[in-house]
Amino acid sequence: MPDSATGPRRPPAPAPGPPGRPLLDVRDLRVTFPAHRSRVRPVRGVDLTLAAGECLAIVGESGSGKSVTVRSLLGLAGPRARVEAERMDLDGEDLLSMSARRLRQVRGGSIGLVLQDALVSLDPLRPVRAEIAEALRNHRVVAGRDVPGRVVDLLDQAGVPEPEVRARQYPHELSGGLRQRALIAAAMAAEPPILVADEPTTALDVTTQARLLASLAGRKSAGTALLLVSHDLAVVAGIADRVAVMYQGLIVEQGPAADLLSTPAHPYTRLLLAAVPSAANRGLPLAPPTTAAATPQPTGGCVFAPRCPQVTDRCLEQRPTAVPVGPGRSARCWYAEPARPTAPAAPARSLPVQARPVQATAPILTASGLTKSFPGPDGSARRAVDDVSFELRPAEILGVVGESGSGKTTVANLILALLAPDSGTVLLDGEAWSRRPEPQRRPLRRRIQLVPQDPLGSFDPRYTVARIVGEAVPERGDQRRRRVAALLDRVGLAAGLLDRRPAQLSGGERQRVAVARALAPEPAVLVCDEPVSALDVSVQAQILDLFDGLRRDLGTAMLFVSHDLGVVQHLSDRVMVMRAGRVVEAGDADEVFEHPGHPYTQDLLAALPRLRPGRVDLAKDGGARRDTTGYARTTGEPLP
Amino acid sequence: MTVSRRLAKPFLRALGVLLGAETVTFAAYHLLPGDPAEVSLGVPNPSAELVATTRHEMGLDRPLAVQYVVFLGRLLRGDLGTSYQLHEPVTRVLREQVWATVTLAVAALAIAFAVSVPLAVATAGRRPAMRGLSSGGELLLTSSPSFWIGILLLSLFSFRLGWFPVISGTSVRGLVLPAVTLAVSIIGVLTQVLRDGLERALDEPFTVSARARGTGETMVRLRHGLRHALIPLLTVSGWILGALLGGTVVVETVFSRQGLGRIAATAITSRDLPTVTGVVLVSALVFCVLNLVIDVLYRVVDPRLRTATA
Amino acid sequence: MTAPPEAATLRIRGGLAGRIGRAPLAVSWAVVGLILVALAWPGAFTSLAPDAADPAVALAPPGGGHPLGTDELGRDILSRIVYGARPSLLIGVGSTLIALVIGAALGVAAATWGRRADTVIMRLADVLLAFPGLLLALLVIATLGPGSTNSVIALACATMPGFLRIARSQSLVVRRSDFVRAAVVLGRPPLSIQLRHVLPNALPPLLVFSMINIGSAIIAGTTLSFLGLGPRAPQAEWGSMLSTSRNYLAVAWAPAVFPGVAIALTVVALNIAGRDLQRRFERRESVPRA
Repeated sequence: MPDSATGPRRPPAPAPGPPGRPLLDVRDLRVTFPAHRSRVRPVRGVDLTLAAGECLAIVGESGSGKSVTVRSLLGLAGPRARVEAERMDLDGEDLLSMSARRLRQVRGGSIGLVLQDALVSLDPLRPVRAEIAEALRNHRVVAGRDVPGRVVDLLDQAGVPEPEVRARQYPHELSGGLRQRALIAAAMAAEPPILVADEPTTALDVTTQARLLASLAGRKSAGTALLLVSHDLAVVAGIADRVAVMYQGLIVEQGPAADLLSTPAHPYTRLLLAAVPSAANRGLPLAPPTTAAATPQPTGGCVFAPRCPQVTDRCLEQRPTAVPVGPGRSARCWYAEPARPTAPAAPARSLPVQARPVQATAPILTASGLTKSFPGPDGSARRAVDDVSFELRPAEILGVVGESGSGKTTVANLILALLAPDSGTVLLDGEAWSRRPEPQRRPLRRRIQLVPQDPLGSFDPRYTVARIVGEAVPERGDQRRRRVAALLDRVGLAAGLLDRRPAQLSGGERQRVAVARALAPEPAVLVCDEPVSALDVSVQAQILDLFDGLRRDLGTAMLFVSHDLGVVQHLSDRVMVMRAGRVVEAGDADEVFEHPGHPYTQDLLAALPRLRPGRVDLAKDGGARRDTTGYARTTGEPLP
Repeated sequence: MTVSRRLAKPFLRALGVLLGAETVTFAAYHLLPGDPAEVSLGVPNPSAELVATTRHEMGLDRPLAVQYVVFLGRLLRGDLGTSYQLHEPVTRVLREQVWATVTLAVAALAIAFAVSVPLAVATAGRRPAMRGLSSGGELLLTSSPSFWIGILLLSLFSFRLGWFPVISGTSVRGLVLPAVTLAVSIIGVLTQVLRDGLERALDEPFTVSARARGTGETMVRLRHGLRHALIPLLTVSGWILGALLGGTVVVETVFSRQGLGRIAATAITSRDLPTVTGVVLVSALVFCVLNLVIDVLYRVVDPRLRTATA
Repeated sequence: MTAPPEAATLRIRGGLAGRIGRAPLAVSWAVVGLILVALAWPGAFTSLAPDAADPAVALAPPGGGHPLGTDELGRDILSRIVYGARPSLLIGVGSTLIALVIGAALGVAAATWGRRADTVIMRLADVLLAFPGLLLALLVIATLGPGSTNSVIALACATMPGFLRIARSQSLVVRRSDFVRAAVVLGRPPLSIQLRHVLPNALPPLLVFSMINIGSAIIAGTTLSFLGLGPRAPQAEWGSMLSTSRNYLAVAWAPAVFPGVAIALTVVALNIAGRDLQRRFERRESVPRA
């Protein structure tokens, strides 16, 4: 025990300080990492405060510096990080000048940290109880012989069923939701007054996510201050008292959650809110039109200027300071003004409902009675897909939605004829597709193309963009290059990317290249397998706009597989809800989402986090049973 | 599934591998360019009559298939034939020599771990200068043949300083230099693998979780890091065993020490095939048994493997 | 003793590779250059013949006309090291090349030709792997007899299974990769996929493994010579030079030191150069976003 010298004394847990003084008070936090010949500056001056029993949510896209910010509070930003701040106080005590021993007492004792993806955040070689016991022993919460009992109590408090059994299990034997709860139990073992949760629900299915958020909300009402980090505004909307939006190492806007979400003041906040797909903005673009890249002065200028639709010369020259925009609100923008979000400043592309595919046209793709089993770990067959049938017509988008393990990706692979069904058939243009021998199918494969979840993995790492897309193009030589450039243009990429390698592209650019390759053989059907799940919400918005445009301009039909109901609702004409290999409900998208018939669909919709706490009507709440925290069903454990 | 059933498959596979190894040695025995009978006589230019009689005595005039079956049958009874050179049953020779080699290998392994574990724990992911120095030293060690290291140690400590005997014999003092030489040959790889495993583990989010619970740096390394580093160590343990077994041949020769390795080296130069076969089979057997043990150890260290096959 | 363990070799990714200083790199490549010169034109380093004996100066310490001293017959050690580079390196490079070609062919075949071929090939590899490193080489030498050529064959047999396993696992990884799946969806014929995607992506790790294997094969080759199983007597060779030096340890240190330095220097240089090649290769494939 490294702390044995401190004796049985427990670290003085900072009791909620005198009224007015926040538990956490951070001014001008800066974190830099040494990098090759320069320095990376993930955090460039963050101010934040957290009062007892309050929930502050830090929201930002990847690379915004939100994780580094909260980790540096615990001195865990990394061994090479340089952390500076004008002030970084924990209940009046300076965190930066703390001794190593005192810092260890603070970790877990005053601030508990929960990381995302508990599969790797819990030591896979140790049973769950060992992790919780470690926290108890580090902080001498109870006497040694009482530790095992306390571990079970903590798991029980965290909402883990059968805590005695679970305590003895290893992380890989638990579901994602239970792992996350175990991690929370370990972080809360010494009852710290502050709990920091970094993307706690990111890897979870939507129903599990809802229950976990409810459990966090319970901690909050029990008096724990929550510092929640997320990329998803909707996730924090129901639980946060205040929201801080981060962009490139700065908090660009912060304020009370309800105000900030209903009347955002910063253009970036507005962009994020508009980018959230839903039925309400179906047929409307989610992303603003790309402006000519404006580069701010290296010495100053607004960090958001290159992407801002309202950028002016002043934004390029002077960095805006945080200005108050309302009670308890501030924003870093020269033109900050709270306003109701409107559709992005582009002419709304109208897609009249009447223009949707006429049901009378013959289907391109017909799947009937598809069944596929895989051998399970114990040797017995497990049905991944069970009696799935559907039709797909030209220019139609069929959304396939379901949680992990529902068999939706297997359906995609069956349609692509990468797997052969055990029974059932797929017909393409009314002719045999799944039953055809591969050599005969090969010339027809261009009719059905794939947009993968992980575009980077789907590119040969040695190839340039020109070769990746060129492989799918019949032309040769100069003609091929021209054709590839035209395809890139179609997906909104400059021809300058032709000679780049995939590793040099951003996530959004990669997905566009993957779409360009899929379009090259002029397919009738695109199978999109979770094509936006790895993307930031603003990039996701651009890619979703691209898909909608392709369907409209080229008449391409799409089988759109996603776990995200909002995405499917936004894009699809018809929808198929899958669970454990079976289609539990199918039909017109509006119909299914507004009047879900199957209890499982109702549960999924109820669990979907809603934006704008005051405006539940945004997504019609058919069957949504909301409690006061904004989340349904706070008890019970994951559905199998 | 019970432990015995879980082990049945690798065990059967090990048996198959051993049978294959025996077949290879049998083939080697009969592919020899010279006539085994002539070699075993050990006299220059024996008469054709004498060779013919010896061939008959050794069963070499029978069909190959029959010889193979006889060979396997004798193996099963533990009969490895008679050494051409020592004119003693090979099994007795092996029994007499095996302990010297086992002592050497175990001592070397103990020294190697005693050096590698602290070195890896101390240098993993820390001060680039120290880490660079340590990995430079490891590269130098892995790049130097162990017989040369043995010669250097012998030259310095036995001839110049006179601390240790030149001929190591069976004394404990005589064990020091050979064991160090053999240990040095694996320390480089051992430290690299351990440190790499540690650094990987320390990069994982669960170590951040552990630190966030207030666990100290040393405990994070020992409690969370080291166990993860054991997994890559198990992966290369086959190589380490091979290096130890092969290394004994060299080290026992350099230090004129008793043991299987030295017997093997002299048997090869004098073409004493039954002895070579015996040594090779014993090593293969040891190798297979230890690989089975390693298979079990994987499951002990990594709980994920326990449920994967259960 | 023969092949470095795969894990220890392939781990270099992100390990030492990124942190080799400029100076060791330059020195290593310079040593590789010097070795190449010594192989092609040994006369460039010394005017003395490697087997010119002069009993009058036997076991002379370094200095005078013999910069590294002389051996028990008064032969110049520097000259013997320079001329000895050829047999010592031949065994390392030759055995690695043979092991690479056979191992790669069998490994790719095991990954490509279906389950039965895979089982047969992998069981054969298991049998070979059941003999710990050097012992398999010794068994081969015992069968074929000592000598340079037989040393090459013996070491090739001993290292081949390692190449086989890497080739097989690499091919399997690439064949299951998403980019091969993407090529299938595009309707590319199987042969084209094999030639354009699978082989070019499966081979580079093998080449890197070869570079590093050459070093350990050189060590193993000199070990065979040390045991008296390598090239025959008058031929200068690093391992046999060290073997002879043992008889004169009490009187002369130079013959026991310099040939070993030559081996260690060569292997270290090849190792660092190999890692450098690997790093350059990886950088070409994945340039971080500017």
